[in-house]
Amino acid sequence: MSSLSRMLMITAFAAVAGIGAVTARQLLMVNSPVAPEINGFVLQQPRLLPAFELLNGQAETFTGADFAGAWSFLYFGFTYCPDICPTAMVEMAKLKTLLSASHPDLLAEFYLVSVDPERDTPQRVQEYVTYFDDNFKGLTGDLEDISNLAQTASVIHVIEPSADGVSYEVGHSSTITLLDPQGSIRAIFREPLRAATLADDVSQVLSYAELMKE
Amino acid sequence: MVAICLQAYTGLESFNHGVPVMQKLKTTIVEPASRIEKGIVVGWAVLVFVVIMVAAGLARFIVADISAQEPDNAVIARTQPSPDVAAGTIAVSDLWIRATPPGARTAAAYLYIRNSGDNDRLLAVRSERARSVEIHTTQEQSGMMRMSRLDSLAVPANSDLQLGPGGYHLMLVEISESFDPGDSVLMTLMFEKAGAMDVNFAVRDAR
Ligand SMILES: [Cu+2]
Repeated sequence: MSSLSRMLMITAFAAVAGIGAVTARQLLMVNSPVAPEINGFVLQQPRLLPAFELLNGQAETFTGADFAGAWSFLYFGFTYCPDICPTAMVEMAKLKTLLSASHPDLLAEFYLVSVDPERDTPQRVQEYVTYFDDNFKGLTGDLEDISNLAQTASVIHVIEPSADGVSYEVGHSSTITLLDPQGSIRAIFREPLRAATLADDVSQVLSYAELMKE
Repeated sequence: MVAICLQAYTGLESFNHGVPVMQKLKTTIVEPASRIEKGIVVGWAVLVFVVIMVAAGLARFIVADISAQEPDNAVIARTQPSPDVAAGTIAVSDLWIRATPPGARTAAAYLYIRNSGDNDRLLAVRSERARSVEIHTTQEQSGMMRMSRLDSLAVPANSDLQLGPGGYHLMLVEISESFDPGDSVLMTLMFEKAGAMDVNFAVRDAR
């Protein structure tokens, strides 16, 4: 047989297999819950966090295991930021209020993870977050651990050099990452971060997570 | 995934150098040699399936990513507050500073600018309460929110410009003390044509 007809056969076979695969996928999808449409991403498979060691606002070690037991909302930002971070923190505080009304039994924790550990000491992060809500928590630590965690949460961050080396800016993704009570990522909410939209989206993600259990 | 790819790759090699396939598939009794061919066929099916699943997954992600991208235009005011300070053809209003959290070293100031004359530019801003005041814009670039410093801010002829949260703002760098609700902060705005304007910003708790 010529190599041309062999190639044709391979192509035909690939096409048939492809159509089969797509059909099979469609059929399978019918039985699994459909991920809700939100302003961001819902993960169909919970994403595990990498091993990391950070410091909380009391300068105590904080690891992935410390996320267990409650739904966690993570915002990656920095306290030197005058505009976008405070705006996001305000929306996150409003989200907390909305959720405590709509889901009174939900255990939820809210974190600012600093992407500027050079300037953000545990104490600094703590005084910053509690300005927005008494129960907000701050995390900081080694840049490497922060980067590992950020990367898993699809957050990019970069320190922009400044002339004086002190008043530098940090560019970062402005998203809220939602972890389930097992500490795995379930959803990522993106800008514009508005409390009302977030509350609706969170509610949908929680229902979806409930369906996925079955 | 790597293992499957390797298997498929080996399969391709066999297709090119091995015995004719068609003939083997026609025979009903499976001989050892054609079992290998069957393995290859299965390998191919698995590869194609995996590729399609990955492509479908990626397409979904990419489409969602693109559709969620919003153009980060300058914030255009929806309301038009009445100007309260005017210098020639430039009028500014709704001047406010976000109250600062404890320990803050920076602050952001916002205002509404109306230009009823020719093209003008905001060149610089000064305040005694900060080491420097920079004109900033916040933009989404490659998935990151980044503030960038502008040398000046154009205020085109007969137009309005809103500086507001998440967009253009004045950034007060290395502030000397915290900005508390109720404070009034004097700043000087330097326009290219309209000249210097001394204006007061009200500190607001934006929580
Ligand atoms: Cu700024």
